[in-house]
Amino acid sequence: MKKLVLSFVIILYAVALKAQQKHFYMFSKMNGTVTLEDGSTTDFWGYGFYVPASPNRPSLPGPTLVVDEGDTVSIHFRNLSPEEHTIHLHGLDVDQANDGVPQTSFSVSFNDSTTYTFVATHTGSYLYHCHVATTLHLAMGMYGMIVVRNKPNPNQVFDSGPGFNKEYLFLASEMNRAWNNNAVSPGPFNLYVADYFMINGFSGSQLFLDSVNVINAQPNDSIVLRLANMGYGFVNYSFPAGLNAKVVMSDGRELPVAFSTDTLRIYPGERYEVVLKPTTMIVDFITVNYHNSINETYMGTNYIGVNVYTYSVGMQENNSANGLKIYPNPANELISVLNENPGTRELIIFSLDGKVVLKSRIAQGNNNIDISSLSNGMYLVKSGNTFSRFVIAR
Amino acid sequence: MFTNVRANRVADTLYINSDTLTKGFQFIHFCGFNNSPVFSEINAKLYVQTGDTLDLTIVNNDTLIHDLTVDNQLTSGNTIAPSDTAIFSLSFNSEGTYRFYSSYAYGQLQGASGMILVGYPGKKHFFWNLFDQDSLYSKNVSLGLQTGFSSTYKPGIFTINSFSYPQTSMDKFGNVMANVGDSIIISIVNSGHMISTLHMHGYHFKIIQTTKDLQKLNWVKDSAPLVPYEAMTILVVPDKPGEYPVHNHNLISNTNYGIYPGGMMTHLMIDP
Repeated sequence: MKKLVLSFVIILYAVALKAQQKHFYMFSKMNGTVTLEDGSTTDFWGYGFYVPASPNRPSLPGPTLVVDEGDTVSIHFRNLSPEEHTIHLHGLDVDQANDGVPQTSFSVSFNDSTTYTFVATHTGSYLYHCHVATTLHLAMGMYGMIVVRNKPNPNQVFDSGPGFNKEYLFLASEMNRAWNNNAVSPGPFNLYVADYFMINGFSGSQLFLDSVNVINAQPNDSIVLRLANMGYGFVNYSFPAGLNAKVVMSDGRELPVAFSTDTLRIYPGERYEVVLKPTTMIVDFITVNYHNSINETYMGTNYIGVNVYTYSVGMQENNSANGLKIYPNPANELISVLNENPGTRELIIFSLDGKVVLKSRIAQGNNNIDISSLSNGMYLVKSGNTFSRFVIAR
Repeated sequence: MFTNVRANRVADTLYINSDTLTKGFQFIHFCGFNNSPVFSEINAKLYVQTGDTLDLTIVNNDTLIHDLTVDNQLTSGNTIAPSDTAIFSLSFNSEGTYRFYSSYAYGQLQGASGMILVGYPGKKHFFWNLFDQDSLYSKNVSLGLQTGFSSTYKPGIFTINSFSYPQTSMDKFGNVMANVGDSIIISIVNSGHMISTLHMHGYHFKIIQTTKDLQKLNWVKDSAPLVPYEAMTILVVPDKPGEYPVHNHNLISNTNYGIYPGGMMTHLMIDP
């Protein structure tokens, strides 16, 4: 009897492991404001996680939804904006009722709510976006990413696929700022041309300010990039050769033959899993070029920082923790380095190709360092066993 | 379903016709390969079996010189003068979708581009001939002022088999009507000048043939780009009933002269 009960418990546990219920509570709003790279602000429409009795401000892009393969997912959606909206679950092959397309299912009006339900049958990267007047609503910012993690091993890209110990999500998107600032009469939709380009909602030097947008790893790490494109144009990724980039998956399905490449083009609505396996120290960028789908003309570039270096005992990368603090970041002509350690020590600034571009000595406390001789870009700073980095953006 | 179902050595005749139509209060100049001497903006679709030889007669009813160029078969230069007729013998040894077209710029800009589906017997077949058009370009082409494609191209018309949504739902060749479990072959050509990335709701599909990016063979996707002039064959096996859109995810093309919804969008209507 005891054995029977134990077996029953094990079965129940296994079932629970295989298929869990996941609930997300989301809202849509049309009153978002985002700060652009040049410091100006613009309006956007977007999604967020709904929290009762809070301001519920949308984010650009919307929050990433992470679930496990086999999960039954419920998205409880409340529309807090005056226009109708939906959540289309892009690539998840949901049934018609949960597809979020007004013409074939329904839309959600002001202050109304609904629940979208689906089973996450395939590991991989997916998207969600509003499918009401999609040309406008998507351009205004109503999109986000969904990640379905492999089960039982969440650190494997797919069953029998490569494992990874680091994961980064990069959602490319774009906007036409005139549309965002005048969504009431943006003009004929077919004349939309993007003039601002983002990764995870950030552009240019903004991308270096948050560690989730910079690849930090050590040699021999296995890094999975989940790449998606929500723009109307296509993006070209260029990977530094030392990253040993291998494309293993697209649109939530394993590729028949994985392939190594230094470049990858991602068209509107596509997603890719790329595994990086650097073997040596790399301080470089992944270049993301944006192109128009109509005539393939170049439109803009973003850079994703890549720092692959070996940590020795006691060495730490440090942007804001104890030890070495640098501000402002991005910087212009001068940086102030706060050294919280006693005594003086050497400070070395490296360019991304590993060259020493500036040496100085810093004392305990604030130290102003003239960087006017350095050009725009990202730099590594080493002092003792502490690394940090900053960006010059003039 | 098709008038051009063939076996062995077969013959057919197509007519290059041109005319001016009014679409959305704009005059649009079209040129097409038609099954009859009467102009239609809908280009012909041919269906042959693997191994067939097709003797194709082309009658040029246009006032301009054209040629017949066929993917993997005929390179450009097989010219047909106005009011002239030419016969081409084409052999098809590989299953797939192949584009035939006039390689002259005015032919391409005005839509003279059809498709041949080879093989896949016993499956349900559908056809998506994608096209985008800029009315100003079209007008200038007809006036001899526009002789090629340039970066100023701004399309306002986006069609599948010459239909824009919602008219696409009335196109029996493009609006997919099938049942759960069917093996559906969809033959696609991008006769337009921009990259079109088709996104399918509800199902993934397998790319089983393409004339451009061979690396993507057998990839299972829900979003697949077709670069200009690419031909592709996809296989869909629906696992559930329902009505699901398929559309270009360059969303400017889901419009008719800038008005949403419209343009390059159709549906899969799957019964149990």
